[in-house]
Amino acid sequence: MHASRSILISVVLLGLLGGCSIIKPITTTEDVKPWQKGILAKPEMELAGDPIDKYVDEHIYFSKEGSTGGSSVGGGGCGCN
Amino acid sequence: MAVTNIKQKLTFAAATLLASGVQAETGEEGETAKFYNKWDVDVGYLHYSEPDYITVDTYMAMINGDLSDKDTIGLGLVFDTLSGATPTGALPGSEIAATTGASSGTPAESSKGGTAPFNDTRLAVDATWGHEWKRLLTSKAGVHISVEGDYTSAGASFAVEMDSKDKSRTLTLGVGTASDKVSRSNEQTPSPLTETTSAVMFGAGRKNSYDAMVGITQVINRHTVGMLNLTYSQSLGYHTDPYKVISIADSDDAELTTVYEHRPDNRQRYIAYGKINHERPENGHHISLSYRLHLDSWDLNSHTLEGSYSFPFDEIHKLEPFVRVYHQQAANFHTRTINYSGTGTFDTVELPEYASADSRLAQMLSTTVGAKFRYMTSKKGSIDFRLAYYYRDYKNAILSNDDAIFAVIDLGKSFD
Repeated sequence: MHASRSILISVVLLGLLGGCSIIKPITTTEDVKPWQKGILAKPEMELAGDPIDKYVDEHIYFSKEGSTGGSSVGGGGCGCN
Repeated sequence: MAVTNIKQKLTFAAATLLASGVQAETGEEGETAKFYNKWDVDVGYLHYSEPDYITVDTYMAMINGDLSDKDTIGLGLVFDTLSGATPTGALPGSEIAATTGASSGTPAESSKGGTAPFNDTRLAVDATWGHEWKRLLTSKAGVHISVEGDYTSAGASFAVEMDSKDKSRTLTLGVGTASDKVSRSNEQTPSPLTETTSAVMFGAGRKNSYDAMVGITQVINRHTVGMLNLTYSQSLGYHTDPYKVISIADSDDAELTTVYEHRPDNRQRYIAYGKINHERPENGHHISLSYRLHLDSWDLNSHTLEGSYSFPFDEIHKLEPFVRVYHQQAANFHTRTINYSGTGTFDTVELPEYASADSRLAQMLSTTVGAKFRYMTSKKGSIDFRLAYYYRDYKNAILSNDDAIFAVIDLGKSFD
């Protein structure tokens, strides 16, 4: 029941993305000149993300799930239950 | 002719750059300071609450700034308080597990069967130093330490980042190591797979972890940037949770006794992580998508999909809904209980080499849904409020499901 709900949410999310034609502009490659990188320099485009959000997410999911890591190297463990 | 034009343009560009450099070096103090005096400060508070289990309050402070035009530093300080109850791994209603405890600060006598009281504090600090060796070559070196009553972790990391000439691509090579000391609150660890009522206690366990990562960041187009990281991780030593137990029970869940869990002392993980950030040209809204594949020598393989959509509804307010879906296989030694025939004593039970009933190692599907609201207090200041609902659904585990709500307040300010 709950599993079905989670899967449904993910399917709806992917459907919305596809339906809004978002995929094409994301995947279209182009040669970007230095003076065309203004948008890429915005804080919202920073791949590392917000430091507080990143710390909170990693802390919670590390404590509650069996997988961790991937976005960067390093980071400490804890005995969180 | 074309060559001449290009030469002229290059000469002009070089002269402009040189002139601006000279101006910066010889200018007034205020102008020079722009190069190495930018600081970002974030102060945050997290409240995490599971209705049936634990509550966590976390206080965070992070500072990132420029020490010079080639050096950066980041400092983080985190303080956690944890309280409530945590699943022991025993069957719900287990009376035997009541004597085991699962707390680093609280005696265990008041345990409620399959859960035990939990009360702990944790202090963690980290520091990262970044340095630009050449225009296209930078490095980051970091250290961290985390201290609890029953767990200490210290480690270091080092990463080199190499930009392509046009800075459209960055190659990252990184390594990290951590050394963890694990025990119950009395610095002891129980003998594994022995009855909880008569276990022999040993000293603290130790675990060492080693990570290596190669990553690439690529500008895809004017509105999109992506990254792909590949990580190999190995950990050696004591992986067992010294508080967790397993019920030995028959097919009707009639419990004979409980034993302490036992996990393998070697774990290898392979992780592929990809992320894309995109700004929609038509409205300036931002999309972030990420996927992680986690392969594990314990067979705890997992998939993680995350997405967020950020849009402003006026100059100073922004909303960012997000969703995360995570699925993991069970670890190959995870078991709900250790089965026995229903007759005989503990001595006649056939025990596996490794076993754990920790639900975090069970097959799991989790979903997080939430939103972040941002209020810009000024051009360089913001207040973020983030609220999320986190649901976990387990299969063949002591718990069938559980959930949590967490809220984060983040005050951010830049100075330069």
